[in-house]
Amino acid sequence: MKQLLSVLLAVLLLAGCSEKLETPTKGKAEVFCDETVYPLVAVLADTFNVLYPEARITVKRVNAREAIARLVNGESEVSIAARAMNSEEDSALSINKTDYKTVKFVYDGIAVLAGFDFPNVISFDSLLAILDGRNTSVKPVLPEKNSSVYEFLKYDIFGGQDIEKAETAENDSAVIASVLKDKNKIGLVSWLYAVSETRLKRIEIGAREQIRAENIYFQPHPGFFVQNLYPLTRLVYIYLAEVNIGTASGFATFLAGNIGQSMALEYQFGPAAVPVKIRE
Amino acid sequence: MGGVDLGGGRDHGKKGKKKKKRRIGIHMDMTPMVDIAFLLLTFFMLTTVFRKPQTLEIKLPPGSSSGSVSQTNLLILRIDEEGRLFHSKGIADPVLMDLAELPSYLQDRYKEDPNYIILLKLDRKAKYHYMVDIIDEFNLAKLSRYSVATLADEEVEQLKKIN
Repeated sequence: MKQLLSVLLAVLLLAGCSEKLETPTKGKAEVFCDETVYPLVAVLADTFNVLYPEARITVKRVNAREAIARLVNGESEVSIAARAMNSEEDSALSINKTDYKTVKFVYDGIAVLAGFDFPNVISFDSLLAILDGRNTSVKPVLPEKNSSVYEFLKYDIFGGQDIEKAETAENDSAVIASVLKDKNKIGLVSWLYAVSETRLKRIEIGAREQIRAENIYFQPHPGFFVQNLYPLTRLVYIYLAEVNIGTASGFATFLAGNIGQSMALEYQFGPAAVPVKIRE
Repeated sequence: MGGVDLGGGRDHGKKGKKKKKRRIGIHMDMTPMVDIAFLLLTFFMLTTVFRKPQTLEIKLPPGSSSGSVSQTNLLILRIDEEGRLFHSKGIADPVLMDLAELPSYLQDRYKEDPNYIILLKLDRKAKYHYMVDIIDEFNLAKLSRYSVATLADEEVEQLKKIN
């Protein structure tokens, strides 16, 4: 009996010494990422995989709605979307009893692109007039309805109303292609797609609230995103629904850490998880 | 280091009395513990390096937040030396109009976009009452965003050519 007990104790001790299956830097995780920040997150996932060879992060490019839907359905432990959760998604998560954490990742903006004949600046009210069809001289083009650009404008600017007068294209690249074909169109795209676009002009937008007698216009720039001065600024969130602290949590921490935030600034996003100093 | 004081131990030799319990007094020497505490404190104080707060720096683009006004939102009214009124939108050429038509013109513009910015430009030799009358019309049309300036020499020459 004594012998049996000692053998059992030894087995238990040895089992306790076995390696942990998943840690923040070891294991697998699948990230469903909004196409708005996909190139940045893909590069950061590669960096993470190189830094921690035992970790394997795969990034799936989806639209904002699908990224959140995957989380709601329990198919994803970490999703990245360029918009906050709406009440419908929030209640679905509480029904499923999914406990999730929200981490602010980066500040992003929606850029307004137009041909070179278009004025350099546009007031915020005039932009709204173009979007809601009060001004028909210019036709707005937006990415499809499930994209974060469309949903941001719908919920944050128009209070939940569909932007019926606007033309929709398959994605941001299709929006740019459409504006290139027609001089009377303006395109609203994610900032990442506008950064390297040289065939179209980036329009400066007037402040939402007029502070001085003359209007103040802001160009899309990470400095203005961080200060929330650019009128079409939005936040990109990391939604984390991992039960334990595993690889998904490790990658989320990495994104919000110094390397992730420095890389975000390289990609012209405004860092949202580390302190920022603005220089004129 | 430490010691144990057994205490008592004296025998009084009285019969029938209960024997007193011997008390044990313990003295702890705290010196080595304090030594180690201070040693550790000194060690950590000397070896700790405080991490500098890592902030990212963003440089704002030059010439940002300009105070320029969109040409599509700008309405220019010009009055020449003879009191003739010209209107134009943005960079378009000025068009002659009758002063009596101004109220309806302004109302139409207000309906079009209440955020129009009006620039009223007058010739230096134009009569003062033109400016007063036109500003009154702005107020009646509820167009509150306007500024007043004088005509540039080139504009005076340009207006002379319009009949």
